[in-house]
Parts: sequence; C-alpha cells; structure tokens
Amino acid sequence: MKTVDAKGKLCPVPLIMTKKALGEIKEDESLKILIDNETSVKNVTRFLEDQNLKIATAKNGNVFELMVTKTGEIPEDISAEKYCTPDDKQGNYVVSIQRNRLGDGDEELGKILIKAFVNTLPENSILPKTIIFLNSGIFLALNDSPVIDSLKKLEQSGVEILSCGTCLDFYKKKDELGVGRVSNMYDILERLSAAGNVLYP
Amino acid sequence: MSDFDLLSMVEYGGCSAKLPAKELEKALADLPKATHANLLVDIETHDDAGVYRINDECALIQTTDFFPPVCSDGYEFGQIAAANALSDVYAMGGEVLTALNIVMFPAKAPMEVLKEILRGGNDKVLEAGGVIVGGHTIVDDIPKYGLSVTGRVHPQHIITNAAAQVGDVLILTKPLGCGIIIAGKRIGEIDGENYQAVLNSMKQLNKEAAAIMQAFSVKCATDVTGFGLIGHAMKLAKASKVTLKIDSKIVPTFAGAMELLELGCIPGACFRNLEYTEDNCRFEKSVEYNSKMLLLDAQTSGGMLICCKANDADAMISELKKAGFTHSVRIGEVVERGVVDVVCY
Repeated sequence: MKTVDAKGKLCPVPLIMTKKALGEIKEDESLKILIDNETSVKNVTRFLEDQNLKIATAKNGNVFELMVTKTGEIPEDISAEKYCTPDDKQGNYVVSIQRNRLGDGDEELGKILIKAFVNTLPENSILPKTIIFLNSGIFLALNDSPVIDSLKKLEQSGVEILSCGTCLDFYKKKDELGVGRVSNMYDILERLSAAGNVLYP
Repeated sequence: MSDFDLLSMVEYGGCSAKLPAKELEKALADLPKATHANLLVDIETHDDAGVYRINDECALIQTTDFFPPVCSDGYEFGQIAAANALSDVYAMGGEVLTALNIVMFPAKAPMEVLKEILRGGNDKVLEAGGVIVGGHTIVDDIPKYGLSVTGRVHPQHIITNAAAQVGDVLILTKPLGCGIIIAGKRIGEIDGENYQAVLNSMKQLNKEAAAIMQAFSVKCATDVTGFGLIGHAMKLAKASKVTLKIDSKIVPTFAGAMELLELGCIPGACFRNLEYTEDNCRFEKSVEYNSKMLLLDAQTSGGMLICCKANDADAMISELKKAGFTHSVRIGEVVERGVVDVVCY
C-alpha cells in the first residue's frame, strides 16, 4: 500500500500530494495519508468525499492516518437505470425521518420503535439510497444519538445521509452532527422526487 | 533589504486569513444590535462598510481591513493592503476622505521593510484622493498591515448589497483566482508573469468602478474579497431577498489558476467558504469541481460584483474596460427569490 507522508506540511500541500498519489495507484488499491494538522485533515477529507471516495480516519498521537481506497469513476447519474436494474444490495428507496420517534401513541414507545427501526436498517436485504433527517428527526443523527453506530455503518456501506440545515440551526445542534452531512431543501426535494419509494417511519 | 521575504513570516495571507464566517457569526450572535436614527447601513446586512448620516447632503462611510503579507515585497504589500481597505468605501459608492494606518510588525524585522509597507499604503491613499492622518503600531510576530478608512457619499446615492432588483444583470470587474495563485506562489508552481498579473490586479483601486457605478445610478454592489464570489453573492442575495444566477463558464479567471487547481492546489479558504455557503447555494451538475473551487476562492482586493439595469449593461461594461477593468464581463442575473440564494450553472 502506498503512503503519503504529509506531516509538517500546510495547506494546500497535503492535498496536492494526495491528489498526485491517487493518480498513481491502481483501481481498488488503497492509500494511506499521514497529516499532522487538523485543518489539512478536514480539507483533504472533504476533497476525497467530494470525489465520492470512502475515508477511514484514525488518530495516532498527533498524527492523523487517513485510509482511502480508489474506486474509480463514479457514474454521472444513477436514477433511471438504477431503478430498473437495482444491484444486489443498494436500492433506490429513500427513508425520510421527520420525527425522533415512530408512530403515534406513547412517546417512550415511539422512541424505542424508531431506535429499533434504524438499528434494523443495516440488516435489511436492500439498503436505502439516502436517509433524510428533518425537524426533530435530526436528533437521531447527532453524536449522542442511540442509533449513531448503525447510521455510521449505513454510511460506510454507501448510504447517503442528509440532515436538514435549517432544522439543525433551529435546534442549535449543527456542531453536534455525528454522521452524514448538512443539506438544504433543494437537495432534499431532489432526492425525494428521484426516489423509487419513500419510507416515512 | 531586497533579500528579506515578507512571505517567509506567514502561513496564511490576505483575505484568506479571515476568521471563518460561521465562527464569527457565533461570536456576534448575542451582542446588542446597534441602532441609531442616523445609522443608514449597519452590520445587519453584512455590507462592506457602515454608513452614518451627517445631514441631507452627506453621509460618512467607515470601514477597516488589515491582514498578513500576500507577497514578498514591502512596497507592493502596502499598496495591496491599502487598495483592499479602500475598496469597501468604493463598494458603497463613495469617495475616500481620510485613512489611519493599522500596523503590526515584528521587533526583529528590518525597519526598512516597514517603511516600504507604509510608503505603499500612502501612495494608494494619495491616488484615492485621500490623506493618511495617523495610525497605530504594535509589536507582533506576524506582520500585518491595513487601514481604517473614512469616506463620504450622498445619502441618496449609497450603493448597498441590499438593493438588487429582479432582472438586473451581474457584472464582475476583476478575474478570480488570486487566492489560488498566491498559494501556488508559496509552493513554487506559478510563473512570474502570471503572478505579477495578480499583484497588479490587487493593487488596482476600485475608484473608477465606483465613479462608473454612480454615473449609471447603480444601487446595489459589493466587492469580492475573503468569502469568494459565491460567499459575497450569497450575502448580497440574502440582503436583497433575491436569488443570483451565475454562469460559471463565463467568470473571468487569472491565467494559471485552473492549472493549479488541477494539481490539487486548493487553498484552505475554498473549503471554508464551501462550508459557509453550501446550505444556501446550488451548483448544477454541469459545474466541474475545479470551477466550483475557483468560485469559492478568497480574493484579496478583488473586483466589484455590480447589479446593473439590463439596458445599461453593455454601455457600463464598455466604460469599465476603458477605465482599466479590462476583464469586466456579465456573469449572470438577478431572479426571483428561490429556495437557495445562489445558483451556479
């Protein structure tokens, strides 16, 4: 495995080194990137995410280790063909979670049920394409959420996780978002309207 | 003196040294709001400067800006920092009256360098038709220079960022990419000619642009600096309650900037501005990643983003070009407020 040692380098040098190395490795080969300042970690991570690559980050003393696997070009638009011929694991449905509980009735029960729902999702034979959190639903995507581990697992399996930015702002929780990324109504509407099915638990 | 390199003393220069806007908003959030009958433009709309009414004929424009070096030479840095600070007066449609120097300088660095910085600032204030009336200097490890500027405008002719009208054409007067090229200079990946073109652009006062805006009765504009074109467009759209549509393929670019982006030379400020704007801005799929980063690049002493009546656009662009803003071009339009503040296609 190739290693990029960007210790002691400031932005944008770690990014330049990463981009160069990504161009040199083969498909499915992995790259390890060593960086020792948080700003560069953040920028390199965002860059890799923007290329739709999956990143695992570990911290070793003062040094961050970013692991990334080159997965080749990402298909431009998936919706049409994907809907007709779904691959074995990833479906074309979207889960829209608008509350921090499931169903009407007792609130306590509602919270137990939504927890069970999200924790069961990774086990489902077909994974959703996107999970969207709106209104009090966003509390499920925060660091201290009881389902944060399941959501992270889903994200690692390629499920896109979006939380409504207006809602995070309203509840003053933007800093506590623990998974996925902040989104806007435009993107959310686009995901919902392009979906084969939408589940509202 | 010539072997003393100001850039050797800093990590981040120019407007890319700004505190992230999101962090700043947190710090300002709970402060009592300044209100006063004579305060015509306050911080509410995140405009370029504050404006205070003296009487029916005269309002004062006040602004300040300072930052660490963006180039090696003291005289050039002084000129750029001053042009950048003066620009906020021009963005409000005003003329410059007085300025105060704001200086931070290391005790151990040669005083000749400081002298050169101040000479550069003084020359630009004179060119602006103003006068430096004093200043303040303290010791700091990282040099910083800028101005506090007072200008004047007729209260009826204030140009704000809150007056865009649906149907207006967007004109940008200077190319983008100066943050990228400054970063490229640090890593030795930009050739001298392309770098000098950026320095020259940063030194160019926006004075004539302000005069041309007044001649065409423009009511809405802003200068493009640390938040990048998209960040400043977003502020303007929010303040004016409209949406801006920007054609990423037309936006003028400094030679060499796209090649640097291709290399991965993306300054940290681009990511900071992406984070600041992404909830409220939409990039169509046709906009390539590097073009998007260019639109987010922090500018130092950047151009004006002008909202111009559609009928006047061609004449105004021609005047701007004659005045030395040779890259002036229409980059988009103002449309009805939609779900996002800025749409790039």
